[in-house]
Amino acid sequence: MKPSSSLVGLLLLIGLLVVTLLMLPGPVPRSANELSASDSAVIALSNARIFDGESVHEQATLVIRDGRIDALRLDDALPEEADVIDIAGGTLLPGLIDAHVHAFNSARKDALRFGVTTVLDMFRPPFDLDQTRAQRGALERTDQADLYSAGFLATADGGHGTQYGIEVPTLSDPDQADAWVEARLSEGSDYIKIVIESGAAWGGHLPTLDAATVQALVRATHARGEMAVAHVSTQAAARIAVEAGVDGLVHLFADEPLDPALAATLVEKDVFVIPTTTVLAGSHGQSGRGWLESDERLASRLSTEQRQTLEQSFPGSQLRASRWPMVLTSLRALHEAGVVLLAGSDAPNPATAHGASLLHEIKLLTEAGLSTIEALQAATSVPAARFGLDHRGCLQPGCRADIIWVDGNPLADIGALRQVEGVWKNGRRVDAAIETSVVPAAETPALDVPLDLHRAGRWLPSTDEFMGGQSRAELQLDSSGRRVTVSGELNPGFAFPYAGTMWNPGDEIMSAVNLSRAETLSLQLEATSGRFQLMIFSGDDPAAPPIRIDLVANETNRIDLTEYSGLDRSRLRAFGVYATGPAESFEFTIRDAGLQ
Amino acid sequence: MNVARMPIGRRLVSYGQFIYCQWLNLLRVPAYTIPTLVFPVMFYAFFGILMNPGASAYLLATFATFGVLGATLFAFGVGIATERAQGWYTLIRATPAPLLGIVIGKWFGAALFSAAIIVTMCSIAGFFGGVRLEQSQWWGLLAVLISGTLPFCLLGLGLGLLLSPNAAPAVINIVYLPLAFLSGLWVPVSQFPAWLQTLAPWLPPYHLAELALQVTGVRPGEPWSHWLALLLFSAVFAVLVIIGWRRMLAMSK
Repeated sequence: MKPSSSLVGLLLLIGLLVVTLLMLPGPVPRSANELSASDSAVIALSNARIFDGESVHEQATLVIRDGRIDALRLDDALPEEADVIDIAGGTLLPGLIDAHVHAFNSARKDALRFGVTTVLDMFRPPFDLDQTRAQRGALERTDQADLYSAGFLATADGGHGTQYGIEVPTLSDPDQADAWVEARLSEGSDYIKIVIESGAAWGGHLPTLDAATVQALVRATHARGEMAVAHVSTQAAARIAVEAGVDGLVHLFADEPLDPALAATLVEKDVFVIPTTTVLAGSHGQSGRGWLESDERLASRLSTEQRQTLEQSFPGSQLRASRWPMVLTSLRALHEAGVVLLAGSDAPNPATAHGASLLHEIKLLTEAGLSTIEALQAATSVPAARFGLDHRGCLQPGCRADIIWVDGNPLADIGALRQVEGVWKNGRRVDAAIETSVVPAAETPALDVPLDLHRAGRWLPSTDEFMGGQSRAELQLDSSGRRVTVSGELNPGFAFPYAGTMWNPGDEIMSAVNLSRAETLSLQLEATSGRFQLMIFSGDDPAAPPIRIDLVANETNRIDLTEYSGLDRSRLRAFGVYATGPAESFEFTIRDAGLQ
Repeated sequence: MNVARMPIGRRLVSYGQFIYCQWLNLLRVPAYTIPTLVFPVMFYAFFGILMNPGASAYLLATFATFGVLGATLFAFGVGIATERAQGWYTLIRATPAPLLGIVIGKWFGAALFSAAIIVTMCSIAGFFGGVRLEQSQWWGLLAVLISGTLPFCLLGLGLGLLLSPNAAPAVINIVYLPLAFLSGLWVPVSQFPAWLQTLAPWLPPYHLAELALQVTGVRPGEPWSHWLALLLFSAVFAVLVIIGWRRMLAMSK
């Protein structure tokens, strides 16, 4: 056969294919000046157990490049230009997603120190959403978790959500739903949160949206291609939400045991539940504080604000402790029925702390029957899929390099989650140390102990009016000066109404004094019925949330003040003793109050 | 002359001639050439580069699998059915030419085509899609996809032997497009509803795509189960080929 033109063509074609392949671009070698020591563009985390959001690889290497995951390799090959960090004995997980927070103040910084790299806010004023949206779109170095937000919540006039001193656009009629949803989405809300809250679960009465308005809101939201989620605290409210077609519930209700038929409906309609177990635990006397603080390194990363919220307790939480097994049973039943669960902490509510409480939430999910891998998925790939968060909650190539390094194996022992060794956000290591800015307490006047609280300082009436509530209190100071009697009324207005009296150490209300030597507070509380709570105000900021401690009536209460690390005894501002229910009117007497 | 006694040299020359004939066939029948080459490449440019720039590497692996699947099924299925109906094989059987040459020639055509599709897609991915791979990975993708075509060659061959030339293009399209979609070649399997996800591992292109994803470093994993699955599918399709072959012999008697 003579070499014909078509044979030459064939050989040319094969040659062309080979040459093209040889010319294809390889991984770009970095020039030395692009690689600064602290901000290396390529990092290889080698020798690690890796949970990639879906499954586990026992011995693998994660390569980070330009803020994203470049490769997840099962072989030993490392890119030449990479800075290598040996993870031996440790586990890498995707940055966690907290599906229920309220992101105020330093929330996003606090969350990030614990490896929560994305937070889904369920109510905050929407005024900076353009900025937060730009931040989460970028891959810059940051010390804050990325934020997605509901913006304002949908609630009735005077309903739940209006009590925090933030003006919320409310609605009262289904006809307003369309314009309301439109306004939120144009403000930058990522999804719509609807409040169905009659206050019944807290023994109160609150105005709430009716079923027709909830339905109209869900319709208006879905018509715009967005998601609608609902706040509920009773099974009845959950039914209204599910009937209206919401995409998810942002709490598990705890007013009654879960009806299996409702669980089946949740599965059938593919409604997810963010049970916020950790906040339910807190309100049932099962605070996660002990579990979290038992790990020293984790405890050292808690800021003063985080300690304070963690040490608070819900009014009457100890009294509800016996109902806690029911909550866990409901959660277990939801999981067994196949309802999709997402991890969310509802921080900064009492007994929670941003970031840390999500770790506790994951642990509680395992107590309710989820396997460790399922519980970790509930904080990574599942919320990412449900809320359409691309490239988050995963450690596959292309995902954001948001990573937690945990010392140990949380897949075998969920307690290892507390051993956070390192956190990367957008491919950069996060500084986990907290800035401690101790203001010298030199100008704070000191008081000596023992101190009789009926002889020093001032007792003043104090109620939830401070927080926007409408409760009342009156004081009667006994002529002997040995006791204080308080009477008044708890009125709806604040989510958790309270009223009582506050002891101020100085002449000015809530002015700080140095009581570093006081170790115990003791007082006798007399009352025929009711629930009572002690609040301790201290520290730099008089408006900082107080430490809340349940008091027992008709007994001498001794509070060990050294036990509360969020309490700053060098700047103590006030003690408050409050009635918190359940009856509307109350009367109680305090005697023998003193500091030792 | 008995084929089995043909000297090895003669036989190789004969195979070479079949390969060359197949090349001429490709050049002279562009009706097959153009759509099989152009469509997968065009789809990848649209969906893999323009619409999903973040997923260019992932979709390179799956769309290349899609391209290879089409090239192989059509080359074998439609090609064999048509040539069989033209009486071409009856003619060859009357000559001393080895029948295996037909298969080798067809395989060469399909492999050449697959290589052209893969290399074109790789250059789009590398030059326009920002996909950066080691030389070993570019070549690995080519090698995995070409060698992984075995079950599809057999499937196409079986269908080509069984189907009439009129029915072949229709039937192969009916097999090819759903097979590609359900194996996650256009949209990742993880985006399917759960019940549909369970179907994918029962389809051969799924395993080839997984191998392509692994060799390009997009997805970590152990390749052996996927190779084994492809071999098992090959065994099943080989039975189809035997049935088709027997039927052709019976019909030509």
